[in-house]
This record gives sequence, C-alpha cells and structure tokens, in this order.
Amino acid sequence: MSQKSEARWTATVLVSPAVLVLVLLNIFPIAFAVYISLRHWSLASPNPPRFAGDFNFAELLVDDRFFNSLWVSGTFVTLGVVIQLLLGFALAFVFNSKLRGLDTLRRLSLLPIMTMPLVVGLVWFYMLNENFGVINWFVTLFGSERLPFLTERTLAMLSIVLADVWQWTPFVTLVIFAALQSLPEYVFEAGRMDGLTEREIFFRITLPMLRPAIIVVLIIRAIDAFRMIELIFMMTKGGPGGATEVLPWYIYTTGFLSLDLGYAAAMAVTMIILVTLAAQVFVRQIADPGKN
Amino acid sequence: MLHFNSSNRLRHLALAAGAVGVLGAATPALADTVLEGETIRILGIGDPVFQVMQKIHGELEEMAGGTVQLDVRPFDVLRQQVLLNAQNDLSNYDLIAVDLPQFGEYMSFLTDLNPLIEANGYDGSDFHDVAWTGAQFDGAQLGVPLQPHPEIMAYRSDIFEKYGLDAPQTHADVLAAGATIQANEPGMSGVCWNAARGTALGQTFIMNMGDFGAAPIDMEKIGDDFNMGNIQPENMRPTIDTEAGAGTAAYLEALMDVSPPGILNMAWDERVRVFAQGGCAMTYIWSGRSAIYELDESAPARGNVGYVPHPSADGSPNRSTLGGWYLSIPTNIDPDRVDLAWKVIEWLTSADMIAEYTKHGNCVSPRKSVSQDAEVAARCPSIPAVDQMSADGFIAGWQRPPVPEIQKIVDALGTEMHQVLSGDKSSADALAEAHRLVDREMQKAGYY
Amino acid sequence: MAHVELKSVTKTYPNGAVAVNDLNLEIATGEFLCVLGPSGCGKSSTLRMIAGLEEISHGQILIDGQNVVGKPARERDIAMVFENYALYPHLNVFNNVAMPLVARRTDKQEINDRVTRIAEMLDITEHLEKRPGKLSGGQRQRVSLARAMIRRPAMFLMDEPLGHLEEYLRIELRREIRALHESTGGTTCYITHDQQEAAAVSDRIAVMSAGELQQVGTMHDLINKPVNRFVAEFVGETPISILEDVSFADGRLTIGDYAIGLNEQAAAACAATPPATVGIRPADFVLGDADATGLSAVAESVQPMGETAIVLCKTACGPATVLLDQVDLPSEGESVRLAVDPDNLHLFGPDGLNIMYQGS
Repeated sequence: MSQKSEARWTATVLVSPAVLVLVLLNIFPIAFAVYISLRHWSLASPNPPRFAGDFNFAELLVDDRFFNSLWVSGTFVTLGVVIQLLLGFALAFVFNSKLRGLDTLRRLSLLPIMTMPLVVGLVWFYMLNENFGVINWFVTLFGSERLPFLTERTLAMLSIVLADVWQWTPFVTLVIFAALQSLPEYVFEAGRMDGLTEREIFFRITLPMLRPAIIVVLIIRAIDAFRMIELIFMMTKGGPGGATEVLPWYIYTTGFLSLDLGYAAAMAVTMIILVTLAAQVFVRQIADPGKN
Repeated sequence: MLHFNSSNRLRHLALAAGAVGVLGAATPALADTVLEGETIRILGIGDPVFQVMQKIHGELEEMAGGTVQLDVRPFDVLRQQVLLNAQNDLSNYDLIAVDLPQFGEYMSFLTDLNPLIEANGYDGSDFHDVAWTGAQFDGAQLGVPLQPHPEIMAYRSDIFEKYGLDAPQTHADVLAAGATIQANEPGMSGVCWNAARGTALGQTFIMNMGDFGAAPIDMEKIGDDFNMGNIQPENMRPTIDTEAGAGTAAYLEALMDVSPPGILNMAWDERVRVFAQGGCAMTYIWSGRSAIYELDESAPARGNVGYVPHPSADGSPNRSTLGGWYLSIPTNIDPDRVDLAWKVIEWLTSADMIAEYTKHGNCVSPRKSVSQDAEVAARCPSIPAVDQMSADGFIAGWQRPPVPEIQKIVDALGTEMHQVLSGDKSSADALAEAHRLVDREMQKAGYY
Repeated sequence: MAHVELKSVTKTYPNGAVAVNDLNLEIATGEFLCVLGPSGCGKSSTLRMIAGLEEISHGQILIDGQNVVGKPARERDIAMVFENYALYPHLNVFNNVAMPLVARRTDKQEINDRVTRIAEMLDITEHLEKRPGKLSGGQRQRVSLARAMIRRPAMFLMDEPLGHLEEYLRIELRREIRALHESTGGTTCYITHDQQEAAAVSDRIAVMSAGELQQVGTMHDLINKPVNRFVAEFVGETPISILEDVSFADGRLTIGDYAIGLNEQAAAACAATPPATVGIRPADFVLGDADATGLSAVAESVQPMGETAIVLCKTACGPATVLLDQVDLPSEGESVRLAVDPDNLHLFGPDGLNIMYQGS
C-alpha cells in the first residue's frame, strides 16, 4: 500500500462514523419523509399505506389553506426577524457602551432565551387574554375598550410576533454583542484618523465588519422562526380564521391530529425545499463577500 | 486480579440474593390486595380523573398493594402512543385510557372484555346505560367506563332568577337569555363556549349539530338516535352541507352576539374559568369540569349553578354528547397479565373509587349508586343532574361518531367555521368546503 | 506642513497613574522627530494625545499655533500609521488606501489617480484588489503607509510602524520611510523603542522615561552629551559602563585606584557638584597591561564580534564593558588596567544628572 492510499484509507475510517451519524440522523429521515409523501399513509385509516404517486403534491397545488399558511409563515418570519434584528442590534450597542450596571442587565436579558417556547406562549396567552389578561387590564385603565389581541387578524399576527420578538431578541443581541466585542479597537481609531465621522464609521466600518455575524443570526433566526409552532399552539391555534396558521402548524394538525402522514410529509418536504432554496438565494445575495 | 474481581462480584450477588429473600418474606402481607406486589402499567390522559390518581398516587399504591405505573399524556400524544403501542408484539401497557369517540379507531386492537365479565360474574348494570353500552361494538365490550361525562349547559341560577328567566332548553332560550343578561348585568356576557380554532370549534359544531338531531356522517337512524355499533362504509358519507349543518352555523353565528370578549380563542379550560369568575351567565361544559368552581370557594359561580341538557334546536329532542374516558386492555397484552389487568379495571372503576375521585376534583360518576350518594351530590351538584339526564335518555354519543376519520371531520369544521365566525367567509361556502374536505378524505380512505 | 508644539502636556488615568507628566516638546515644520523610550515610558500616550485618540488631562497641543485640544481626530488633519497596521479587513487594498479621500468627499477620478500614484510609490500596485488578510506583514505596512500618505496632512504620526516586522524588512522599510519623508517633507512624529531605527529615520530624537521627557537632540548629542544617567545608559549600541567610588580633588578625578587630570571645564563643574558616578562608553576605554596606568580590572569574558570584541571586566568600582579591536585581546582572567581620555568621561552627580551638560 502506498503512503498516499494508506493516508486516504485512514481518513475514510476516521470520517466514516461522522458520515454514518449524518446519514442516520439527517439524510435517512429526509429520504423517509420523501418516501411517505409519495404514499397514501394515514394512521387513522384501517387500510395499509399504498403508493400515491404525486397525489399528495398535486393536492397541495389546489389547497388554499396551504398557500395561506405559506403566506402567513412568510409574514411572520419577515416581521419577526426584521424587528428582532433591529431591536437586537440596538440593544447590542447599548450593552457595548461602557455604562455601569449594564453587565447585570445583559445577563438578565438572556432569561427569555432560556424559557421554553411553550411556556412563553402560555404566558403571553394569559397576558393578552381578553377576559383576564393583564395587558387588557392596563388597556381598560386608560379608558379604552379591551383589545382583541388574539382574535383579530392583524392584532393576532402582531401578538405572535411580539411573543417571538420577546423571546428571541436577546439571542440576536447576544450574537451581535459578541461580534461587537471582537471587533478590534484599532480599526475604529484608523477610521477616526482617516477623517470619518462617527456616522460614517458605523456605516463604512462597524456594519460591514459585523456582516458575517448578522448573516449568521439572520439565517438561524429565519429558519427557526419558519419552524415555530409553540406560540401558535398556545396562543391562537392558527386563528382567527387562518390569520396565524403558519405552515408548521398546518403540517402538525394534518400529520399529528388528522394523522394523514402522506399529505403532511408532502408539505414538510415542500417546506424543506423552500427553506433550502430561500437560504441559498439569501446566502448568495447577501453573504457574497466578493464585491464592495 | 481477575480472580479477585470475580469473587467480589459473587459476594455482591450473594448480598443481592439475601435482600431479595428479605423482601420476599415481606410480601405475603400483600396477598389479599389487588396487585399482590405486582406492577400495573397504565397509559392515561391528562384529564381530571387521571390527575386525581396522580395526586393520590401514594394512597393508591397502598390500597393496591403494589406499584402503579401511571403514564399521563396530553390528548394528542396519548393517541400517538396508543397507535404506536398497538404495533408492538407485546404491549408496554396493561391498561390504556380510551376516549369514547376513539373506540372506532382503536376497535381492532382492544380486547373484548365479555369473557372476563362472564368469568368473574361482573355486573355492569350500575353504570349509566349509555355509558356502559357506549363501549359496545358488534357485541363486544371494549372498555369499562371510568370517567364518561356529557357536555351539558351550566347556567347561573342566581342571575337567571334575578331577571326572571327560565332554565334554557332551546337555542332560542339561550340566545334570548344571553341577550337579556348581557344588556343588563355589567361585566357579564351571555354564553361561554368553545370557539377556538381547530378541535375546540369543530367539536362545538358537531355537538350543536346534534341539537338538530343530526350527525356529521350518514349513519343509520334508530328513532331519535343513530346506530353506532355497526357503521358500514356507506354510512361514511358526510352530512355537513345540509339543513342541520346550516342551522348549526346560523346558531353559532348568533351566539357570537352574546359571547364574551376573545371568544374566538376560547376553549375547554378558559370557558369554565371565565364562567366561574362571573364573566358569563351560561357555559357549555363537560360536566366533570364543574369541579373547577364547585370546589373553589372564591368562585362567584359556586353553588349558584343549574344544569340542563345541551339546549336543542326547536322541535328536536335534547341530546347531550357523551364523552370521556374508559379503561381498556390492548389485545397485544402479555396473556399472563390479562387477569391482573381486569382486576385493576374492576378496582379503579368500583363505586368506592369513583366516589373517592369526586373528593379530589373529578365531578363525574357513571355509576347510579354513587350518583345517589348524598355526600357526593353535595360535593358535585352536577352529578345528580347528569344522573337525571341519563335516566331521561338525554345523553348520547353519536354526535361524535366513533370512526377513524372523526378528527379529520372535527378539524375541517373547526378550521372552516372559524373563518365564518371571523367574518372571512360565508357559512354556505365554509359548509360546502368542509363537506368537500371530509368527502375527499372518505374517498381517499376507500369507503366509497 | 505644520509646526507642532506640546506645552505642559500631562496625561493622568482615572486610576491615578500618570502616563505623561508635564511634557514640553516642539516639532519644527518638516522635521522628522523620533520619540524613543522603553515600553511604558508614555511615548504612545503622547502620540495618541497628539492624534486626538486620547484625551489630554492638562496642557496644550498647538498645531501651527492653534490649540487642538478638544478637537476630534478628524479635525486635526493628522495621518497615522499603526504598529498593527489597522487596515480595514473588509475592504480591499484600494479602498483601504482611498478611505481618507473618501472621507473628504474627493471625486472618484482624483481618488483613482492618487491611489494609483501612491501604490506605485510604495510598490503595492499588484495588491490593490486584495484584502489585507492576503498580504504579508511588510505589504500590510506599505498599505498602511500609503493610506497615511494619500493626502498631505499637517502631520504624520507613526506608532512603532515596524515593530511587528522581521529584522530585514525593518531595515528596508526604515530606509524607505526616510526616503518618503525626504520627498514629501512632512512633519513627522515617530515612536520607537529601537535606537538604531530612531537614528536611521529621524532628524532629532526625544528620549522619554517614566512619563517624562529626558532629552531631545540628535543621536550624536545623545551619545556624547547625555543629560543624565538614564539617557547615557539607554542610548548606545553597547551599554555604557557606570563606575562608582569616584572622588574629585585638586582638579583630579579618582576612580578607584585610578586618578586622571580633568580639563578646566570639567574640573569647574566637579568643583560645583561633586560627581558620584562616571560613565565611560565601551569604545573609550584604553586597555593596558597590569603595569600601565589605569583602573585595575580583571577581564572576565572576551566575546569576539568579527572585527571588534567585547571584553567584560570586573573592577573595584563595578563592572566595565570594553570594546576593543581584534588585536591584543586579553585572555580571560588576566589582570589589566583600564585608562580613559578625560574628554570622554561622563560625570554624573549624586542625583544622576550629568554635571557638565545640565541645563544645556
């Protein structure tokens, strides 16, 4: 055995456990989901699963509820992530300033991340509830009518976004803050010496240097938000009408309540494809480090 | 070294054996208990009755003289676990909790209890008829009632008296009383009910459709009721886009005007709590949940509540939907454990135990003997009321047909009707769409 | 080009540490001044205060007669080169170099022309499209220099610009920096702890220690007329020997067992302030054998260094470092005598000040 092929063999042996884990935990489930999506497979049905061809996917194309849930998901992800990013960014800068007491505040601000999403949903459900919610109590204190936070189309969406923002803004802050802390001081000094104003330093130096962190946090949050189901489960069940029915909730009700695994898998597969495509386009468009 | 190690291990074994011997010597005292030192494995639901069992778990094991392994799951998880457990060669549980409408779905993997009933000379006649026969399919008894209770109407007798109103018997009564009270009683709305999207509203729809004497699928009608014990493929056609369906939708739309704020997000727990605190004059309620205010001394509703059967549409008989939990034995249970499982069923559904549960927040009694117990009645006023409804034949289970597709029907209705109540869709369109969805599902399942 | 003057500049940190104390310094228009000192002597703080990167606690900084204290860096018209280059990692070389012009809203065509010109001057044309991460240390510092020189600021500040480079690059770049200075004629303040570098690039050198300015002058001045023991010991390629046990009487100076007659000027100075120590540069020692006149010493080690050799001697007055030609080297352990030309003596008083040049 030549030295080179021996090295290659060693590499193969060393890498194979990781590959195996990847195949077992990632590739197999996805492949199996594709397999299920091509079959009539209902746990509730007495009939055994049978091949369905593209039936489930053809069904998707004429399913208004599916398109509605896509639209709702898109709205939720866009609104939520944009607000989290702006707010998280601003907070990161506040925490980065060397004011006293901010360290404690910064640590406290991480609490929402550590809370279970289901609990967050429950807490906001109670706070926004129209009959005994504390927020509506405040609203009535100011002489206003109680607001239908969870039962009016726009307000319900905003309420879900609010809960998500409450929980995940600290995460954005954490990442941006860490990135800010790792920016070398001398670059800012160079900027000042080169005659840039504070504003120009922010836009020409700080922001571009934070770009990798921003992109990472954006992708993580967008994908995460796209999968969000707990808040819907606790707060609106997708209502009113279908105003807050995000795709994962539709998939959940189809797969786990109606037990129509085939159709749910078809939706899940479509969702994976859409998310992957979106992430790709996104990464190419925004993350391309080439041009300035 | 090796030698030393193995001799050491031997010594441990000897010690362990000694310990077993000591334990063994202690067991004879348990010989006349239900479990005789054995372990029973129960898969339960996070509903009041099983929560009570969890609460008194220590006493329960003491009474049983063995280990009670009680796994309590939320509704959806329980269903998945039951379905998955059914695929095992040997069941992981001796007993499983089955909701009344689930029998259709689980039928093929539940043990027929009749041979056990005969062998043990068991008498089921103390149970309410509808509760006992609700678990009968093709002559097989698939479960024993543990916590079956109907969805009925609870109303504030004090408030009704104040405005000179009679107990609501019909939809019209409900709407009229609701309007009167809402207009005159500050901070109090008319009716609390399940209008949250999905399962909650879907169930409301079919139960209220039952008020019209109609079921969501085309079952065989027997008198005022339907034949649930023998549902054939041709009975699976939806009957949603019908006059009864339209009537139901119209009633729900009318209810919106006498409902509390946030009704579109209200479900099981919340409607009772809002009612308990005086937010509504009436509420639709699973009778067992009345414990929420009957056992809460600070609740304004406590002691001021009257119970009537589900109000009917004009001209139809009153029918309250029976639901709730049974104990069943899966068919893939280890044959050696069947007798033990049966003994535990007998014990957990005994009159003593049913009475015991009422002490801890489960206001349900499917047994006539318990329902007539004055102490129980004082604790849970809904129990004698339900007992009377049962005697009057006002309770039925066909509103939620025990077919595997029931959840799909409920989901389709709960989703479509929510759009109607939110003002996004006409009820005609929603009914047609729900009908179409269910029809498609039935065809997909190959019934016709 | 500007004339810069520091008046009683003091920098005190919040914890009470005094980084720079009452510093007075003038940099003439077009002058290349080096601030030389050991690390922690306050030279960087001084530079950063001139730059406007650090606040000044007390005193004035005048640029062309105008006090700039309180003005932000960008209003001081100063360019700076950092020890760690401080290039913008997210921009390519072209954009790094162009930044000072971009900040001043220069038009595109002119930016192009000037970047092209300066890139040629500094030999970085081929790297213009690359990001700093792809460049070697020497290339990065050239980019940094180009960025500083892209416009004509009132003043250049260079903070140990060659500190991170390898020896051969340092020598090459210090020559280039000097050449650039000669071609641009910009007022420059340059910080280093390397005296050879200071000598190579600058017109004058300011020596700092412990936050205080010690002496300003040419390298020649510092070597031959150090104002105090610190400067004498800090400056010089091979360290000066400081001998104790010194006394003065009747125009003669006695160092241990060696007595020398002083010239008139030195004698007068000694009469005014009796010397405590005497400093002698290694090359100024004259080595004689045991019978000759001079301070008796024992050659402890002999280190040949090509054409010269360093002999470390032990004397009753302390160790002495002697630089010799490679002829007649003593053998190790041999007793010798160390003599010196009286004109080459550096006489320090008990306070360490040079009693002859104090106040000059």
